[in-house]
Amino acid sequence: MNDIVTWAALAPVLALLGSLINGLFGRRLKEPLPGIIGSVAVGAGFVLSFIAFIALLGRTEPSVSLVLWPYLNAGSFSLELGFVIDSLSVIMMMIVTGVGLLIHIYSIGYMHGDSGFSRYFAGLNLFIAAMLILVMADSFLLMFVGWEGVGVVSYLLIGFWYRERLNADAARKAFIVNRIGDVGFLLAMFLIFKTFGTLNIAEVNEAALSLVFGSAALSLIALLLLLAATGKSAQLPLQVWLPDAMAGPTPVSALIHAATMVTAGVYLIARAAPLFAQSPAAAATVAWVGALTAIIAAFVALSQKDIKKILAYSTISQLGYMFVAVGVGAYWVGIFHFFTNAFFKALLFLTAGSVIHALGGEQNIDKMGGLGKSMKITGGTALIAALAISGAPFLSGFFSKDAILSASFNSELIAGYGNYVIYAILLLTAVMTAFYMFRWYYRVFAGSERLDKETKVRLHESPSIMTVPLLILAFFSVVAGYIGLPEFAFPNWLAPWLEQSIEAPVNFVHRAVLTEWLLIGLSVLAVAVGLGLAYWVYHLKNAAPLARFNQGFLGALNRFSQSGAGFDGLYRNVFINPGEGTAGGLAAVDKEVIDRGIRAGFVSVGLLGRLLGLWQSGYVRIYALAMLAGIAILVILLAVTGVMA
Amino acid sequence: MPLVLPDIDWLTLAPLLVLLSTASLAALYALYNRSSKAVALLALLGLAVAAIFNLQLFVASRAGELRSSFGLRYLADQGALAFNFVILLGAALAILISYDYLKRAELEQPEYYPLMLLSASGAMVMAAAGDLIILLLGLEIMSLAVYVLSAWRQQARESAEAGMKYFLLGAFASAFLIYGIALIYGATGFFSYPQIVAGLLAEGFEQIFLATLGGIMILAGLGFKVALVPFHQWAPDVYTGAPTPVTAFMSVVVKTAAFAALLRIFAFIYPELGVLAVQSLVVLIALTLIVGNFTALVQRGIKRMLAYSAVAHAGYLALAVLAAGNLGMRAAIWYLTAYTLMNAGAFAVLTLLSDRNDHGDDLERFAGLARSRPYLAAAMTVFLLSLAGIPLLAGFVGKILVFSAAIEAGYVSLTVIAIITSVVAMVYYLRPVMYMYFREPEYEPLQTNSRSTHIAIGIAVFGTVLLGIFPGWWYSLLDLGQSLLAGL
Repeated sequence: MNDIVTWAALAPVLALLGSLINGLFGRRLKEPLPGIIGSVAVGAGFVLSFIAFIALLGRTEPSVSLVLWPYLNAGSFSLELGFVIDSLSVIMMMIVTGVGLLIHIYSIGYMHGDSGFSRYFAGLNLFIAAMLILVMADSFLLMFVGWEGVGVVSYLLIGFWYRERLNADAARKAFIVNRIGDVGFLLAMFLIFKTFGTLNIAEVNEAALSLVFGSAALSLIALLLLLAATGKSAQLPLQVWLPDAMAGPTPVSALIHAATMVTAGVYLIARAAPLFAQSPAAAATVAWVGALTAIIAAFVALSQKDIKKILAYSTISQLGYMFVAVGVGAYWVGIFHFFTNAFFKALLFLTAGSVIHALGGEQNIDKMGGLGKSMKITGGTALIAALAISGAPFLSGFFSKDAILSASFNSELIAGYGNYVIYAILLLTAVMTAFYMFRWYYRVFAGSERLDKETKVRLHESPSIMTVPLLILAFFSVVAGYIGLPEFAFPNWLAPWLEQSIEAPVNFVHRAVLTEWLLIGLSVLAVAVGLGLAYWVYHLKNAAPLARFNQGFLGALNRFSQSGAGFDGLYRNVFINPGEGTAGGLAAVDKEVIDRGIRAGFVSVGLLGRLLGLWQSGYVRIYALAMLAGIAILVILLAVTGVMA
Repeated sequence: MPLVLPDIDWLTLAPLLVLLSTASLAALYALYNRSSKAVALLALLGLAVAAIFNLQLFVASRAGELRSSFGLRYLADQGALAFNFVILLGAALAILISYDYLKRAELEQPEYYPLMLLSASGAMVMAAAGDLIILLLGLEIMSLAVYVLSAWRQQARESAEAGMKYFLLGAFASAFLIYGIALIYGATGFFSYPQIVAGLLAEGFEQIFLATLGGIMILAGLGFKVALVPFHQWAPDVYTGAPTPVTAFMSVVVKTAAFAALLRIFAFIYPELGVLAVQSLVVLIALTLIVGNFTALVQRGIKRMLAYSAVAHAGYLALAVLAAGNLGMRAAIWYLTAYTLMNAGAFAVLTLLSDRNDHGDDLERFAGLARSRPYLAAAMTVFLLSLAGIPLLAGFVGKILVFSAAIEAGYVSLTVIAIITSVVAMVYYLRPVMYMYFREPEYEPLQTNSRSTHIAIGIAVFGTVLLGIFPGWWYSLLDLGQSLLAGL
């Protein structure tokens, strides 16, 4: 512990401690004490992470490994548990604890008066601890500890307000879909161990670089890790859980389902970069998954009416951008977008939380409007966040999104013209992003008020314990992008800093400076088009042009978008209820079908269980018969196959 | 034929003899003094002394010394001794859980404890058996006592039914086992494992069909005890009907013993039988994993859910049996240690939550437990998360060890099934956790307290966490160089 950097290893311990105190004694503590304990625990973690960051800044090799203890050491299986604090993980740690701290503070105001106040902070702290373990882990095994930890806590926090049946269902859905991803992680882990004989990430990465380019084992491992990543990061085809996860308290959505946990998949791929860089097929799959997710989620976000669901789909879409970045081999860019996204996306959710708080639980944007007048700070910061996520020039999102666009245009990892198609998809998505974000902004904060009378009376700006975090996040949403200016013309601090930890050989075409400027011009144009369209439709015409979207082809398109691009219905038809035919189909999926689909999913799993239970009649003779049948089948098999000794 | 006296190494038999004599002494004592407390303490003392002898043997065996009795028919090799520790631990936990429970349920009769000791001694015989007849002997000693124990709550219909059911089906399963033994004897002419193997490998051996048939019958007989599908159906009924501490005992001690026996037979005899012998275990494992986990999903009662979870865990353990070899053996012992702690712990918590008729183990009773009984809820959470295989708890390490042993042995697709079902399992293990922490209580929780049960829960929590965070020490104790099974 001579090295000051290693003190950062205490960060997860502190969060765990905070969780234990709140969990075991929270009931005896008066509000807001549990909130203060939780915030202090996370805040201290942030200070330690920040000190570690400063200490690492001056070093030629910014990486410190810390062995915690030898875990298993016997024969072929040898494993140590340890943390690695390097340029990659320290950035993640600062975001997790920094944004985490702001959200903790905000929550003190948001959760005021809730009967589960201390329980809530216990859960939030536990999440921070698990997330820190995930990013600091030096082995896939320890990373899996954090991976499962954040999954479990997320499950518990989505179902926090369990009284509503919908929340319990949403929690279960999130949990089950995430388990599919976990299967991928576990299988990948065993395969890694079988291939490389170790689970230490650094050793695996090094060994992967010496393996044959594009070897089958490598591709399989990478694809399984991708499955894990799609589950956690809500990418196609496992994105269905995230919109439902919005049932949890809004700060939880901000922290877990927007800023941190859902980016774990991106982090995983960046951490295991050589596995992907050495396997072009897997890398291309990552990029395509990301691109398709980005555009489909943006398409769905166009028509949603729930203030949080719009943001949920935008999260999925932004995660798609990050996947493209790490897919085309621009690993630092993926982390860069994570970095800027953490601020403006957390900010968007917290402003939404502020609105919901002020309106007493209303979430339908059709019943809002004009709120910017009475909620000046919330409205103003929301505008900044919306501009940032849309990629308006000189705000943080502009730089990170542009870096992704240029990386996908220039990458040599994707064979053929695939990278240009991906670029085009992302550019179109950028137009849509600007449009749906400003639809969101205009419908909520600008234009005419459409509030119910009773809600209007209650309308108020949130207390300063909630607005101060908003202002801090807004500040970073503006400036966070300047650490990663376009490399071709400006000094870029982030890329060389992160690439010290990510050693993966990916080539990018170096184009003429003019081309690069042209690409930037295109991105700006895309934002301008989307923004202008939203301004025209929702500000100038007050949503009048939308009347056309009620019938015919456009109407079908609209309904398709509203249904979440039909995925829930699709799963119901393909996996859950194949016998029922495609009557519901892709096009005509309405709300009711989706709900039924979710329920049918549980019913059909339950049905299998019940069928098996029927067999459990309670009669001894039936049981004896089953045993006899079992043995008879084995004996007959033996007789039929003969003896192959 | 000259009469040959068996060679007897008394130290080898010492742990067994200590248990037997303690049981007899306790039973005699109970004739004059009906105080349960004294008998229970005596039983615990007996277990402790047996553990000390076992430790001495274990140290000796690690030094490379193989002790045995009756000409390699009763072995004190590292495998057997490690299993003995698990069995003694399981029995001690069960006795601790029982003490106040029996008082509360007015079932207090001191004979209960000697029966448990007798059953544990049978379990130890099974672990040490290097001969099919000795194995059968151990199995019957163990089972007879458990039949009686599971019907201990005589006045309650379910308990009597559980005992009867277990007895009838157990007898049926024993018949398979005996038939299998007879077939193997008929084919090779021997009962002891090394001789059977020698017989199977002998030049001109033609009875492979009979021997394989025998192997399958033995698998069915032992598969019944560990509850492999389709020989599992007794388990949910008997687990629910029997008094909860007895369920705990059954789920850990009986399972450990039967797996110990299965591991040894599988490591020695199975490789020499026809391929179908091994293949049939593959099929049984796949069935067990799927049926056990999916049925557990829909259970409302926690005790019944744990019964199906026990079936599912038998599947994971059998995977280790299939992997055979040292790696599988070590994984199985490790897994059983973890399983004993977490499962006995979970049942211990249940005894404090159900009323004196063992009712009230449904999910709703768990609602809001974190508020009314925070420590109990925390302990139950540890057990359930460990059973689910959440990392840094004992159950997770067990699964990792078993899965990697199975992959090493080449059973990749079966391991994939195991991984997928273990992920499904999380849903039913986490549901009670959700209820405990995130629901308002629907019932006034029972404020049952019991010092001895608390001690058992404390030991189990400590062990589950310790083994999860520092798995290395127990794993490395399980030998690094030589084989765990003598003669393998």
